[in-house]
Amino acid sequence: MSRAPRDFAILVAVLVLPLVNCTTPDAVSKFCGSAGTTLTSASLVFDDMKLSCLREINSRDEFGTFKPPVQSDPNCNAIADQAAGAAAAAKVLSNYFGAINSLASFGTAKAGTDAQSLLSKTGAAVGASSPAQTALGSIAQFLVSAATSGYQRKQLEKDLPKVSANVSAVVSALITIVQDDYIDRQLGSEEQKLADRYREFAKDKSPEIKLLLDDRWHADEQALAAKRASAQSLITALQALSKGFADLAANAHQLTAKEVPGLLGPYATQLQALIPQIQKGF
Amino acid sequence: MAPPVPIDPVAEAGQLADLFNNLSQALDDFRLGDHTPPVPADQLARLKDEAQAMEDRAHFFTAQAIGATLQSIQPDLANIKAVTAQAKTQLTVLNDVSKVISIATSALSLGTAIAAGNPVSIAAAAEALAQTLAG
Repeated sequence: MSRAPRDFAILVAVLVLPLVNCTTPDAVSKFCGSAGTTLTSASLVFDDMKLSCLREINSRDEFGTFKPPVQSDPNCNAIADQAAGAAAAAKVLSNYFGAINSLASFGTAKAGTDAQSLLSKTGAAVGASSPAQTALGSIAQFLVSAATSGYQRKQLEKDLPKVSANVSAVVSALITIVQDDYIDRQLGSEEQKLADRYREFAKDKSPEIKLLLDDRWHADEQALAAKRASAQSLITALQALSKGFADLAANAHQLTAKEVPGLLGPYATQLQALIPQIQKGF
Repeated sequence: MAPPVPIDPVAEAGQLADLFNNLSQALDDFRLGDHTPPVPADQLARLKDEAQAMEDRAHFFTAQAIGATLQSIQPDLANIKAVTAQAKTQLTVLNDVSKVISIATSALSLGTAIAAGNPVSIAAAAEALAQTLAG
């Protein structure tokens, strides 16, 4: 290798090396994308909070009264309003992960290629095949990629730890709402009242009718169990999301490019596997 | 005098919701159980109404518990929103940086073409620069 290209290669290596030892945008982008989808799926659970309340109220009517189900109730509406607040909080988080995803997936390499192709359009000025044009193209591509990726990584390292505690607090609050208010209180109470409805109707009935009722109750119970399982999957996903984000934020300044996919990969894979499970019960 | 115990609105509302739910269920369990002598029908109907009123109260406090949980994270949500807005601004900066460098390299080509003194090349380079500036 002649001296000029060798010196240029060394210069490029020196400039690029600090960028390599930073947060890897691809791994961050994949994790943020999965986190955003998880949070969007959470609205299925929050939407069912009002529906669960209404199902419980409708289960107060005995079988055979043939009354249309109620669609509105003051206390169920109050739960719906608060559930909408929870969905809005999930949306704030989803927007954050979306913005980080856009920042992480900004095409720095593409920006460089665009600059190079622009130069080739003006190649006639210096001669398309001349060494000057080739060198100009390479430098333009490198400049754009280096400038944008350096800025991109710096901003990611700044933005990630800044809200780490806030993301953790919001996720923890969402988990409390899903676990305590939805699974334990609402679905638990709905399940009890559903069973009471069957118990009340089964009183003094023949064994044959009791068997039929038992079959129907099992079907209703399975539907409730599916909703509970979906909500549990959401909790597991929110825990993975929170832990993955905390790990990333805590290590944003010191992880090498090789380590970041290793750190975030399991969380992203877990989230992707849980998303269909969250959607299953609704 | 002992300092006042701080109130946790989430826990308080949640406990009240659980209390009313348990009372409602206890009334239903009693109503649906076997009794000797049997409980009169009008009293059973009244117990059912009371159980439903307790359950309505449980729903009310469940809504209060969710509201209190959400209230506790308002500062966190405000900070996340602010950083989200910053990240969007940073993305705009990235696009601007990319564009500025493209303009600079395009302008460099025009300068080179002018120095070479070739009118056709100058026109081509000028058109490319104009397109970059417009884009």
